[in-house]
Amino acid sequence: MARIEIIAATLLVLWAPVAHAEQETTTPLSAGEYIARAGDCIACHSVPGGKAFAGGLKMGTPMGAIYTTNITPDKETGIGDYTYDDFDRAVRRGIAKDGHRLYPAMPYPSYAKITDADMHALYDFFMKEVPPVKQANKASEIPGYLSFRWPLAIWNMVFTESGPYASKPDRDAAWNRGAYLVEGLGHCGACHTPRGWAFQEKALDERGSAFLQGAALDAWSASNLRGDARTGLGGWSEADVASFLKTGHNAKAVAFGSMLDVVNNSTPYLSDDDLNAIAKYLKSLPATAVQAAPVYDEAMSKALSSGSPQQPGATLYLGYCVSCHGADGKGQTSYIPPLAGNAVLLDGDPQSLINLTLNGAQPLVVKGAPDAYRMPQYRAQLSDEEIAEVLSFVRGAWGNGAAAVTADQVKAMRPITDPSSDQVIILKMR
Amino acid sequence: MDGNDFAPALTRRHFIVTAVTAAGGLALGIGMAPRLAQAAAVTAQPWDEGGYDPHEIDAWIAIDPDDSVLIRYQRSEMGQGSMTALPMIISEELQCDWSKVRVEYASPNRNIRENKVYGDMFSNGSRSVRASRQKMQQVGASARERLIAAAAARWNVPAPECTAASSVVTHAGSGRTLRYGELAADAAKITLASEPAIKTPDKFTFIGKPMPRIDVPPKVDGSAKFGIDAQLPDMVFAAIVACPVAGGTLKSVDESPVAGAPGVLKVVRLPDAVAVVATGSYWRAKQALAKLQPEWDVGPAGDIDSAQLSSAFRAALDGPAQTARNSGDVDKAMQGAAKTFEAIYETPYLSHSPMEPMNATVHLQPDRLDVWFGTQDALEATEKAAHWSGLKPEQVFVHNAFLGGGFGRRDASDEVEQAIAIAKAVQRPVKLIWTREEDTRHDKFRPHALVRFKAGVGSDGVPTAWSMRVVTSSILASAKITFPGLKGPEPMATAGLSNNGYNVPNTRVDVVLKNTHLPVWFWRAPGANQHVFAIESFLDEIAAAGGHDPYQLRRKLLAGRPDWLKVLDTAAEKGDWGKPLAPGRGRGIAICEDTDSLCAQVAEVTVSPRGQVKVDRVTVAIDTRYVVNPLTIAEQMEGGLIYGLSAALYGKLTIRNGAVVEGNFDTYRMVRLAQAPKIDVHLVPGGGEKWGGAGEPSTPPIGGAVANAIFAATGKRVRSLPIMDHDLSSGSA
Amino acid sequence: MITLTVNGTQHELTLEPDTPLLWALRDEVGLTGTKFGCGIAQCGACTVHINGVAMRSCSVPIASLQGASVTTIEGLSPDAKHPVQQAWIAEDVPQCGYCQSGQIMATAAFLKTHPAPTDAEIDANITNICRCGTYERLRRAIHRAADMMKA
Ligand code: FES
Ligand code: FES
Repeated sequence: MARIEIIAATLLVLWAPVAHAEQETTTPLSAGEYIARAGDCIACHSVPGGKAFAGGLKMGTPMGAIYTTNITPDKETGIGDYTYDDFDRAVRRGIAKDGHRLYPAMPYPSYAKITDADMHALYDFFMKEVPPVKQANKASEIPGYLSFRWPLAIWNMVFTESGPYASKPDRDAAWNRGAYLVEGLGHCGACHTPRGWAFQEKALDERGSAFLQGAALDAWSASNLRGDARTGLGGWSEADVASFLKTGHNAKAVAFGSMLDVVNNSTPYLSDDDLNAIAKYLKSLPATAVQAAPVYDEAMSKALSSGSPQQPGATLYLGYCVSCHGADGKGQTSYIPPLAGNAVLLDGDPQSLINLTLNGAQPLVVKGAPDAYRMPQYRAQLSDEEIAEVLSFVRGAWGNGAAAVTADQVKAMRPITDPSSDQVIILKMR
Repeated sequence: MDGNDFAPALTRRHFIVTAVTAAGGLALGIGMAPRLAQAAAVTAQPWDEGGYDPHEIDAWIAIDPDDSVLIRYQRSEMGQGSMTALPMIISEELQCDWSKVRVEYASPNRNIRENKVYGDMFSNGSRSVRASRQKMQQVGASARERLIAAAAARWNVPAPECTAASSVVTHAGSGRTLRYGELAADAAKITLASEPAIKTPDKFTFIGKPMPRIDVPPKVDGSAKFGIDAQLPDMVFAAIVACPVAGGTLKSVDESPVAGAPGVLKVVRLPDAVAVVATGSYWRAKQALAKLQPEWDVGPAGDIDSAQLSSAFRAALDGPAQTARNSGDVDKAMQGAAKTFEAIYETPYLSHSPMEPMNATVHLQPDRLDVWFGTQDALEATEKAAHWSGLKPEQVFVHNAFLGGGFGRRDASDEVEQAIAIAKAVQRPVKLIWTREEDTRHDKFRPHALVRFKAGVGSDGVPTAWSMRVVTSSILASAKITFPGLKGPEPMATAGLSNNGYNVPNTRVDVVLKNTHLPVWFWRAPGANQHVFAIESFLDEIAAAGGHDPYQLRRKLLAGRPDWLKVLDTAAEKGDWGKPLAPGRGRGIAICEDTDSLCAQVAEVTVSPRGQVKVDRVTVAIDTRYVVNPLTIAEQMEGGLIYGLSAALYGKLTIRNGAVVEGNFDTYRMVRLAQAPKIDVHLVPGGGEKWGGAGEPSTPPIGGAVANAIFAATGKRVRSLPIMDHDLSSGSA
Repeated sequence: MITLTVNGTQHELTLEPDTPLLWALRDEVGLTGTKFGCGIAQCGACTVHINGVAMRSCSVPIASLQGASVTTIEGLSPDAKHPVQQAWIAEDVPQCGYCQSGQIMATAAFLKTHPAPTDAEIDANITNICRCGTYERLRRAIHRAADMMKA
């Protein structure tokens, strides 16, 4: 079964025994579990139907596929015989106990920023709270001639900075906490920052303008998290950001794609203070470009509700989309996202939009509670031309003013996002 | 209110009033929709209350002093119109005023207590009319004669001097009249010395007239009650998920995720499923259920997928077979053939997917069980429910509702078995509803099937021999039923093949039965709905290879079968066979016998350069031998064809890890208005000994007619369904 | 608590705010004419009018309906004589009938914006599923209802 369609389910299955679900509102997480949640370790170190943290998830790298490892405290197959120092070297520097260098699919360039105290708590969590699972690691599929790991040392010299996060004295405590979580544990840049020629993230903190400016990954387009007015968080308040991370949805957006991993396992478990800190930090990131904020245009809403819109795609919208997203394109409170002014629709890269339309949304599960509403699939119901037409329509309607989608773009995404296809993409490093 | 003490006293009126008050304080009446003049009626809530009408003439008919006639209907209305047709048959003999007829379901409980007074109660195999026509005539005739006898007694004249018409008995000599309403009480006491003869079809005056279906008015104002609409005081709601792999069992489930969820009463473990019961709304139960992560023991089927199943079926082609038909000497004739053909046709598993997902509402008490649901067999459901509840059949009251689609799905009662188990656990009236996903994935499926054809043709391109070998699953084995007196392979396994009408002197039909972990079941026109696609397409291949017009080749092979020819010719003529079409368009023809009816179809399709198929128009000719209500026959032709068209164009269940992948209508696609062809139906009833069915025969031919039309348009031969999986683009896009 | 009007009567709904209107109507208000077919806005069996607009009630959280006015099949007309209902009877449209509340509600709203619909407009706007395949008559009934409303 292809990973792409079930990644959300993975975490729901695996995490529950670790969390004390029935008491989640009363029993605080242990310090270590809190760190593990914030770092979302489980998202990569487990597979659907598998045991928590036992690894085995296949990931694509530029050289070939690798499998994530067993990080349960099993002595034989996991990290049971890791001392704190071994553990620390792996997480913050990317060097395994036996001295081999980890591929940078493990986001140690970000984890390097974790504080010593948090590292100790995380170590305790893995050693004492995670049940050991005997499950041997799978060898990578990187061909022999490419599998020398020594170039990674050079990679590390060039692309990683070392040392835990250092507070910026000109910023307040909340901002610094936010920065620590975003740049460090949360490793948001792994998806949201574009990667350079050697697949390194182009920037690791707010000093680089590429930082969190959005990137394409696994047939999704991870959104721009900077202040851009159209395609970024320019139109969001700090409260919007915090509520999105806490519940997976707000009046402006609903989480989908790879972000489901994050919402299903990580951010809802953070304290409100931490979520607000993240929001504060993100909202401090300046726009990469000057963009005019989208201005809602009533005309399309009127044309749709009068039933005689002329634009191509409008009738498809009326037939398949209007019942949930509305003639006004405004969705339904925080449950069904608006299409008008939605940064995902305005994104220059329509991958997320096409992917969602073809494959629907996988379930969003907030603290074990499945979401009430989901986007259906249209793979079987609409042709490439029809999907291109209706997506072009929504990208243009209500003042959205984004570029059209072509049938060829849809066609290209069909096989790589089809779980039953032999061309389905596998997750990339993050 | 204590839910345990109201049901024995439950009457229809009581039921509605208490139920609605409990639900929301709303004052709904019985809410009969205004009727068309001239039309009979049905109550919005057709199920019986288990009581007797004081104005009964017999178990079937009650006539009130105001002449209104209550007719009890022992079958199930699922859209096929027999709730109108059977009372029409009774009325034909009873000579009652149709506008005064009211219909309700006969009580299966009473049927059990009164020595099967209603006989069997199933509605399947297009049999509602065929299996009860004679009986219905007898019921009507008998009541009429008793009314006449009552009038004759009053007037003290010989009964033969009296006649009945329009709910009035008239004495010919004196011109005196009495209304049925005035006679019913006396008639109820009369026993006839012998049953009257029933009319022969040539004497029918009412049967054969197009009558609007009596269940239509309550179906346009929301008042018609389906099983899912049952509401009981103190009722709770259950949602269920079964082991994704059929045959698997529940290992364990951690309940903690639903602790404290709103309204959640209980997590119920069944051997192969988990249910959550909640108060207040079904939604609560469904959402809570989604939080659970049951662990299943999926068993050995847990790694089976579609490709494996398909190759296993292919591998079985040369396995031990049963022979359903063997005439001439196929092998010998093949050796002498000028040319031989071979092809394999394949059709996938499908679910029935009626619009109303499976559901059942049960109220279980120590000495009584009430079940509200839509079933195609209320009598069998009563007996099964007794078994599952541990009560006696006479303690079980199944209240059959309108069925939100049946198609063969609604006669297993598996949902009732679950609901009873849940009711035992919660001790309250409970309404169990399946999600659409559950309905798709835990259906009892149409089997996967292969047909391998071999044919030999003479130098004229006309087949002289053909053999067909099916690999499919045994529905009887899966359903654990036997057909009494069955000789040879079960008829579904070769339906559409062994009864093909073509005069090919050497014909052999064999079947290999191969069951898998997936349960299979009767699916509208069982067997035929797959095999007719295969044989009609294969015959087209032979025609194309021999340079024959597909219609003319069929005519040649049907020589000597005037009834088949009439149906075929009608479809061809009305469907404009032979008239030129624009490039990219094509016509296809197919014919079959099903449920003793004959049905031919001509489909006209357009295939776009990118390979998109649009079925523009279908012409249907149907010979049901006799016609009770031509309106419903036309409707069944239209509906059965669309049902088959959804299957042909899009229908496919994918098996992965032993489980069905498709869940909802976004992945299990259906024909909608935009894909629905224009349909013309032509009735050509040919009479004869048997009466034919109407619910099924238009489903089988459509796949073949469309596939043949696609061939005509593109030159591409579709040998497996669904059509959407084939690349039909012409490359010149 | 969400307060809304259903068929002219005010109701206070006590169910959770993310509850779809469909289940609030069926289980709390007690109106069962609105049907459940898919739960994901694909089939249209649950179609009602919300402030006059046809919506699939399985996909509308009651949270977004504070103060809204909802019309269900039971409230479409006081005597079941809405032109669409009459046209449905005249064409004998329903078979099993389960999808028909939704078909009728979708059509009634559609005809308000398309008083003289073409077949293409009908195809594009009435996307409800009918498993019984009543489309032939449904299309005829839509045209008939349009004619009746004009007359
Ligand atoms: S139940 Fe709402 S659209 Fe199907
Ligand atoms: S009438 Fe049965 S689903 Fe439409």
